[in-house]
Amino acid sequence: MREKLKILAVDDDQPMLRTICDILRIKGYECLPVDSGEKAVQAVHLEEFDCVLMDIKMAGIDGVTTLMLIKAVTPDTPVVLMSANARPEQIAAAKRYGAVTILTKPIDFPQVLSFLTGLRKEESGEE
Amino acid sequence: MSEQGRSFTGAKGWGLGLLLVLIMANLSALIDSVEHPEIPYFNTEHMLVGGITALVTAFFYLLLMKYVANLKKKEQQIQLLNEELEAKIVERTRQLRDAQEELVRKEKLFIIGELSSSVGHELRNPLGVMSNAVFFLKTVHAEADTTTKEYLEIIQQEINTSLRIITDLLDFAQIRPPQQQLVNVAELVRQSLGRCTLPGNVAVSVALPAALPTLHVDPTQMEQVLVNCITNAVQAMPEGGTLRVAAESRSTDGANNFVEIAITDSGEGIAPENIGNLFQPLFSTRINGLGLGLVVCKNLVEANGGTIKAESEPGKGATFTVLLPLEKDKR
Repeated sequence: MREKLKILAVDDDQPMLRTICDILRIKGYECLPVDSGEKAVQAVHLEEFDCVLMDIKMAGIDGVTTLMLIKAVTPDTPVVLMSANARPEQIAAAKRYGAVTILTKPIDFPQVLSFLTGLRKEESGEE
Repeated sequence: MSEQGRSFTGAKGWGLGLLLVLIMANLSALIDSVEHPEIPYFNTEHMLVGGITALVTAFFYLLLMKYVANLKKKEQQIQLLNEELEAKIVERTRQLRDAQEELVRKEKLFIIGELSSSVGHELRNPLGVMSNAVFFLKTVHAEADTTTKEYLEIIQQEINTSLRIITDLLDFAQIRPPQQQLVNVAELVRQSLGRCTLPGNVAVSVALPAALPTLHVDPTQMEQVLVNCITNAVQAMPEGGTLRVAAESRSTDGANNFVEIAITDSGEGIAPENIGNLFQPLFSTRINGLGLGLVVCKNLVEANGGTIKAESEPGKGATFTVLLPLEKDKR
């Protein structure tokens, strides 16, 4: 078991990406920030992550398409999507491709942390 | 013409006519008597001429009277037609004006909707970053002095206010179809109250009967409606007061097919002239209000098959009542 859960944060908005990673780090998680769907897919090819936290609306390939590509590489990795205002068809597609949930921005950090705590417990339970 | 016509009809007209007949009947006899004093005034010739003259005069006078009466009748008919036409023009003008106003209003709302959707979406991101930054600072500086903590809280509250406005804008621009499911009223009220910031000077009273039937609504949308109404109620009592949330079964056609949830505040109340406009887009009694919150509430409630209304007596607070449909087989 890894000492810290490793989170992949994906958002093309740099201040958002930075604040998400900073919060996760001070809460005891390891966070890799990437600013595009393409980079996220590359990252999951290279490393294993305990969770992916990703924006839906991004330049290049969007979050829902990236979700599909990530799930093709690593189907068991939980992916949490974030959106300022997701369209119904995006919500439906995200559910179809196996997103854990879609959070509305600004994201409720206590909720995210509680979810990650649950993951951490699952990890330690498996060990 | 009409005044003259009126003067020739009726008792006065007939009296004048009779007088004319008598004058005409005697006029020729009088002239003849003056020119020929040897001829007696009352003779056969005078009587004959006078009689014929009187008859002819009477005949023409009757013709004139009939003509005047006809004229008057036609004038009345024209007057009536004119009045009907005028009323129709006023009505059509009003309909045209209403249609035009409705068109302008819809166009305006469409533009607002488009703009709101775009601006709202773009603003949520920077507000999200600010919110994250506040969360980070609160976590890192958990031991900060009271003023710093207060200021961080102020920033968070302002972010929340901005988000509420943006959410109203986005909800106004696009209402998603309701995903109706069975909803427990007490749970809905409890969760809605839990999402609201209730100041210490506001006493909360909740009156929910033990056995309320289950609603058939979209829980997220109805929670949004109740949160909006509760927040409005709290804002209506800046000096504090009592917030009452009550629910009960209601029937509309003999059966108990609705649940009524009433949110009452003890604030200043709403001016009578404003009550009718509360659910109109862009109408707000607050200085910093956009005037979309209650419109969104109305749209959401109606999309779920319910209704919403407001009642108030100035100085005695206001009540917003939401009527929501039940699970189908419980109706």
